[in-house]
Amino acid sequence: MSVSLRMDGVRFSYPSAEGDVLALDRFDLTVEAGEVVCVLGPSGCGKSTLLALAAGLLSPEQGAIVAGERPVEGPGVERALVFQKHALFPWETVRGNVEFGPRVGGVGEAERRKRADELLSAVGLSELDGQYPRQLSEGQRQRVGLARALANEPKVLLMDEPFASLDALTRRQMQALLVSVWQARRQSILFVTHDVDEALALGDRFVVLSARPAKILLERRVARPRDPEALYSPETRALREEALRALGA
Amino acid sequence: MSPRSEPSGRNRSRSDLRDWAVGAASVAAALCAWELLGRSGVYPPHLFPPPSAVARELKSLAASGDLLRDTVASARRWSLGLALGAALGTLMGLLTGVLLPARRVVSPLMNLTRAIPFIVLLPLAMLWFGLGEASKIAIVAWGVFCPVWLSTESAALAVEKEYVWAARTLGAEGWRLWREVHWPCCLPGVVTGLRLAVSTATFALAAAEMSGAFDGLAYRIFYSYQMFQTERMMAGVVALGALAFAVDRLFVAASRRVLPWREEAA
Ligand SMILES: Nc1ncnc2c1ncn2[C@@H]1O[C@H](COP(=O)(O)OP(=O)(O)OP(=O)(O)O)[C@@H](O)[C@H]1O
Ligand SMILES: [Mg+2]
Repeated sequence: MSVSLRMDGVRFSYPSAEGDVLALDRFDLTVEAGEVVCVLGPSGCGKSTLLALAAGLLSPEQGAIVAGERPVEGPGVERALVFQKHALFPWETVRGNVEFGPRVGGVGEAERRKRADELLSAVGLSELDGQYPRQLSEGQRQRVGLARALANEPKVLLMDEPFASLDALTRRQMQALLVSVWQARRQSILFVTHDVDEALALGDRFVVLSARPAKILLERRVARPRDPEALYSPETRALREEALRALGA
Repeated sequence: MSPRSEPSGRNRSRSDLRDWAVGAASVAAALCAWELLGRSGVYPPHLFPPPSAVARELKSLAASGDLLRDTVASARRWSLGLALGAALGTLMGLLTGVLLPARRVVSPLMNLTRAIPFIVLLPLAMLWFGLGEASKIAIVAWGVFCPVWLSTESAALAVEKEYVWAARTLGAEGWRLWREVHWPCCLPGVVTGLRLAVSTATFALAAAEMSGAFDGLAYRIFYSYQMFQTERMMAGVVALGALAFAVDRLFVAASRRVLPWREEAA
């Protein structure tokens, strides 16, 4: 398998008045093409920072980040980011948000509409396409955020706790949606979550990070296929135990 | 629905109607009180004419064509000054809000001049731009420029990093990023500044017309005062007030259309 995203010896710190905050140091992580890697870690350990670096929104002080064949030098439409706090544009409607990427990318109007229609129906929001973000529930906003990221047809999806604010049922539905999206297009996905069960349900692999600066404490593969019963198999149960132990729970 | 919860949907229009009725009733009551007081003779009627006399005067002003002429003259100065000041203020606010070097260079200078009340610049404006329309429009524009500039600048400074980040990962950079994210983020600031500016513009207009004009509503008020025509003076006040009120309402309606995504537009 070819490598889709690689971080090599990455170091990043935030400047602050009381000295720099070191978020990542000598950090390595690889995501192979079509692979789903889940990232678990305590709050404030540097997970969002990690995604911003992979997205090219932050630049590492040391080390290298490579997407596909090319070094990451800035944001690129082949790497889409789903934000922890949705970050929908309040001045755009639901449809305006979803069409934003294709529109600035110069995709024609008819094609744009078609893509948005498909995505909105996939996330179950076709009826709400004319609403503004403030008129939506948190779960609906999060779904628009996912549709917006997918509209550019990215090769890599960077997802920052996208389902954390959803109720259990909606979260299940969103996970199933993500799985079907992934089965159709086989994007590489780097998925940050604080929910071990979510990591076990979605990931081909998961890593558990230490407190800041983040280090990989544990790395495990999760076997597919992933039917609901598999979540309660002895193997998965053992993985869950291991992950929770690494998280210090 | 609990009795204290927000009215919504169908109940909304009913409560709007009620608010409107209460407002209209309080205005009517004030007018009645004024009328009674005016007629009671507690104050001499040439100092305190009742609304009926003011209305009569307003009618005769309208019939003679003076009212229309004055209104047009005032509206022209007001709107040209507002347009000029708003355009320059928005431009300046975006410049100093987005470009740090521009802010360093321009802001201290602007804050210094801004501290001078614009009324006292009136003689200077007349020296520079003459006694004609230009000086009046300039003073209105200056009065408008400052609030629009400040409000636009603070909106530009408060653009959320998350929106910029989201737009960049979606492929917007450079000019496009500016157009697609910074501008819509600044627009509410521009609108807020303009709403403030609408009242400073009226204020500046009144000052300009009271010193060296030959028509306009504020000129009419001041001239009637000098001629001791109290009823005519009051008629002018009512006309100017009604105009300013109408413009403000119009402005609120317009800003709802410009900012449909806002909870409460301006
Ligand atoms: N803009 C910033 N300026 C200074 N420090 C920051 C900034 N952003 C994050 N940090 C610090 O960097 C560390 C890592 O932050 P990050 O947002 O990556 O954590 P996280 O793992 O995503 O946390 P959470 O699970 O709560 O979202 C934190 O300790 C945080 O305090
Ligand atoms: Mg985070």
